[in-house]
Amino acid sequence: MLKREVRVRMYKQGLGDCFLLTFPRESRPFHLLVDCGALNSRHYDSELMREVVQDIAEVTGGRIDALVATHEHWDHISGFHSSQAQELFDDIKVERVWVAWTEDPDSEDARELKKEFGKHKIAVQMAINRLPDDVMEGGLLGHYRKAITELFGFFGGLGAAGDSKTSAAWEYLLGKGPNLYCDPKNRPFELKGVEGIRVYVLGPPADISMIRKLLSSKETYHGAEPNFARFESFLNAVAPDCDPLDNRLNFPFEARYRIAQEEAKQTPFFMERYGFDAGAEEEWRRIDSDWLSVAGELALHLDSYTNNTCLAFAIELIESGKVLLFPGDAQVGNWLSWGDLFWKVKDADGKTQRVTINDLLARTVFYKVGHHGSHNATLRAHGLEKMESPDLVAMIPVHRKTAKDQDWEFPFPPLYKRLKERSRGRVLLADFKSIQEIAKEAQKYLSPDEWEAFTEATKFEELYIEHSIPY
Amino acid sequence: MGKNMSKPDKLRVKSGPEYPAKGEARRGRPEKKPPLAPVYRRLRGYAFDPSLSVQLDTAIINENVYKVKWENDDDNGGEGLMPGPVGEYLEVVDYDPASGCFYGPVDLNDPNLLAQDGLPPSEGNPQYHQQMVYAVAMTTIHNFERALGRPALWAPRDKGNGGDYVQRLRIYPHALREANAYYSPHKKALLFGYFPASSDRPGRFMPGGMVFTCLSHDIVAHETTHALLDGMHRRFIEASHQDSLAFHEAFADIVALFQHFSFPDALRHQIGRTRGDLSSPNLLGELAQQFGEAVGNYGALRSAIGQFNPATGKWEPHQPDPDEYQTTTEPHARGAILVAAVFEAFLAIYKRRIADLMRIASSGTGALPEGELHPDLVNRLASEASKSAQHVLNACIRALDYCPPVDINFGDYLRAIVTADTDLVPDDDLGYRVAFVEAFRRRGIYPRDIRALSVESLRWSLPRESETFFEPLGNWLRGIAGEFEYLVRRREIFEKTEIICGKLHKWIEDEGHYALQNLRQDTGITFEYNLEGLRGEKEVNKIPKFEVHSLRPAHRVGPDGNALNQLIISLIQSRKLKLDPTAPEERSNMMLFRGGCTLILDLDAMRVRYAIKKDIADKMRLDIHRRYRSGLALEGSLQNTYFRNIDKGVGEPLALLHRSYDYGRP
Repeated sequence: MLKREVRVRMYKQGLGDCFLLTFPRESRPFHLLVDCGALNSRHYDSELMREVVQDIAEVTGGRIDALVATHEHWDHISGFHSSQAQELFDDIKVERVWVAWTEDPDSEDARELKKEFGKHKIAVQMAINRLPDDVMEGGLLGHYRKAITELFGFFGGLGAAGDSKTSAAWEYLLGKGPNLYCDPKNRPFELKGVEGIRVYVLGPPADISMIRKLLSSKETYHGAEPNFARFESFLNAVAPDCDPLDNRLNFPFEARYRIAQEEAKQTPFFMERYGFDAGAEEEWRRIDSDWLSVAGELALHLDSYTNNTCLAFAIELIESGKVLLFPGDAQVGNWLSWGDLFWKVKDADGKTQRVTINDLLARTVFYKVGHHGSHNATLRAHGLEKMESPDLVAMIPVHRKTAKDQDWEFPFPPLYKRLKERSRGRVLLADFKSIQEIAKEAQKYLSPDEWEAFTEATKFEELYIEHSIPY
Repeated sequence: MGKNMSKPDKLRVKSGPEYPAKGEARRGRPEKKPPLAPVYRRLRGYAFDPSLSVQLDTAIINENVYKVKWENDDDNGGEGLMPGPVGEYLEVVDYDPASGCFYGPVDLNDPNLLAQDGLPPSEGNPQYHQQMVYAVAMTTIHNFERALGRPALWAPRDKGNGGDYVQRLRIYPHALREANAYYSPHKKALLFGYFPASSDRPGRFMPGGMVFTCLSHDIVAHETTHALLDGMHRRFIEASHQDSLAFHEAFADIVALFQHFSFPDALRHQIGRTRGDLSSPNLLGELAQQFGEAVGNYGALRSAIGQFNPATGKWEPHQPDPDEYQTTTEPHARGAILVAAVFEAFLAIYKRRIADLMRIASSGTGALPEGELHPDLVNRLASEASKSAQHVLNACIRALDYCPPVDINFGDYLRAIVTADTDLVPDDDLGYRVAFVEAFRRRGIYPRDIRALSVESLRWSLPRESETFFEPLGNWLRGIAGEFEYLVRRREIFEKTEIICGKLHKWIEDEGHYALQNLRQDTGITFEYNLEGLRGEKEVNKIPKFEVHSLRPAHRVGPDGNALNQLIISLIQSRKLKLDPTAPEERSNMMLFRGGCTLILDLDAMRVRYAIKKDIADKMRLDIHRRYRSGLALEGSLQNTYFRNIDKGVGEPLALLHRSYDYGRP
């Protein structure tokens, strides 16, 4: 008789996601790898990533049954890039690659989204290139450039358009095995040869308007749906091929009104009032790059956009009813769309049940916290507050030193606090050294028996933290 | 504000023919004297924005002639109004970085332009845009000066310790390529954007046609008001309370709204169309028509009277909701509550002022005859509407002098309006103040620390004990108070103020604090090291650091002839405290908590009339502040996650405000 127990291993490869789930199976265990990536940081290097992948290779015996690539962000897939651990993955066989339906080349919606995304990504890169690149000399805008660039770290940095490192890693992993396009409209499916397990696809939403819903409903105003269209004229202005003749309509006024920079520099009015030299008296009031600051907003949009197309799923351990929730980095729009879903499935006794997201949340015993614990990737009222299980354990894939370097609040303190309350102290951060870091607080919530059970099911190693859930 | 209020307040602003240039007066040969400079420069502009000029219904009323104060050569250090336009208060520099070009400055003194009231309105001519921003911004400045009775000053350029005088507000009419416009406190500049109209719901425009925010009266007035308010209250830009940013927005909207009532053609037209009922849908109570539609709204960007409900497809008036003030948090939406309250007060005042006219016109039945109103009646109604609007606007602006220097909330503002008005117009025979109180009450806006919601209890209380405690301060000030009387140039006023603030600071530090410490309760700041987080070192500084934040004279004459001769001083103190008291002392967990007071001194009696304080030791206020700041983080946008350090340090608070919440709402 197999020991019915799923093992969740959170690797410590840096600020990024890499989870290995292992299910018991008659022949050999079923290995499910969810993402493998880390943001670049001064605190670790690709050597760490190679150690992690080496461990994966050993544990799985060089065979991963399902590789889940939640979304195309560097911190989730960098391990597949040639600069990191690609050569190790070359020797690992992948049976199936699960990706979101938005990757399906046969879907028209998916193609449209991809096109829109690519265009805006290029625009942000062009805009950033025009911002002052020196933090000291560039002042505010120099800082701004730095911040956007860091943000773009998620996209694998700013390579030339279209061939960024992230795309390269993504292409590689898609080619690792036959792709399974996960769509919330489809019925929950089982893992090949594994008994008593069911996988529910939650997102990305099948309705692309939900994906475009970039901010929470609270923040949007009636009638004025935010969309990319309003960036149009900005995009045209930063576009590299901005030929004045072709783009006459991009200019607000006819050519006869326009005074070119060179000419203005010789005009007394502009020399005196605007002042072109560095250090000139009027320098502090110049606005050469202020208009580009909208690029930051656009970059944020792109970021949420990708997070909204993120593959989110839940694993149900049928007999015990327990649920493991992996939302990827899904943001508000993605989470909210789950509320419209329901599935008809057979329960342990063979009776047909109607399952909604609320049922799944109420039974969630393991939660992979979204987006490293940022404030907007865990829904409060319709998410965390509905996770009512007294056995809830949460894992946050985070590297706090790296986050701190960027002044990012990962994990977001109020969320972290609430998570600890909901999980009764059992929140595991990937950069924890030992269980002692939570012992004091968790023991306040848990009975001695519960604490003992928890410590027994949890293992701290140099490369990972592991937690096992019986079912 | 009684019914006699049409008499303008006494001005200390030098303008027009009442003040002939010195040289001419001395010569004493009137027949050879060149003609006096005109009072006004007449400039054509859109009353609202270009969208109304392409509708038959409104095209004729949309062209307004702005009467802008004539800028004398003498006022301007011998320069007069220069091309740009560059004058005493403003400099328009037309640089369009997104298009990589400049647009030549308009010369409004060109005889061809002088003879035809400036350039004719045109969307396609950047020089006209320069003229429009100049005309609207100057009108807004003029309204401020008239209400306050002193020249307007821009916020100084902050250099850490004190600041440099900024003579002119810079205006860039085509600075951005987005649906946005903002005041930059760092550059002391207004940046206006332009963008193609939304193609989803083009409405009255050609899809993709350019929309220029600098051609909208409302947007220009709104942004100029941000700058003027910042010039008076530099700390109001800090988000210390749910109301602080909302107040900035609301106040800017209020000024833009009430300026509509100074456009005679538009006013008469709208009065005629609504048959005198200004609470029904009309252009006067709405803001930024074109912008609103161009970003995909069903109508104006914001309205003080009602809005289109996309669910029902109908226009619906705003219903005051007493819970609104408790539950709305987004700054623009929250600001809208204040705007609606002030507008309702205006409507009540207007209705009261036209009650007799309506009785006459309806022969006492209350029901006006069918068909169009008689033009004479329209004229009379328009005149009452314009008078009411000017009074309300004046009251709103004057109230700024009666606000605490930090951490304002809407309740404080109500108290400021009531107190300012009581001071100037003791006899409120038309019930203006009651109208304000009622409109605020209906929206659940109450000050937190009064016992009853009456005009009397809303008035700021007089300092406790007796004003004799302030005698040392009064005695000290007696020496300098007179000096302001003779200053007219803005630079002189600024420099003098700086010097006096410095002296006052030193005096308090050296000796005044002995007396003032007794008045801790009234000043809201402390002169002893008895609170956590005070700045300053005991060994070096005798007393904790504080700031003489501002000092400004106010001379005003009320409608009954009673003169106010006041000096307004504000003191500010800051404490550096932990945001979450239980968390460690990290940079990200630190915040500034400010307190202070506005002292209003009666220069004739040499005593303190009001001490309007925000106590630095107020625990309840600190709690609210903490909750607000951590709530801000909780509701935070992505912007907050990734660009936190930038926003905090050097960002453009209003630019981000306009962006991150809702797209392009200036």
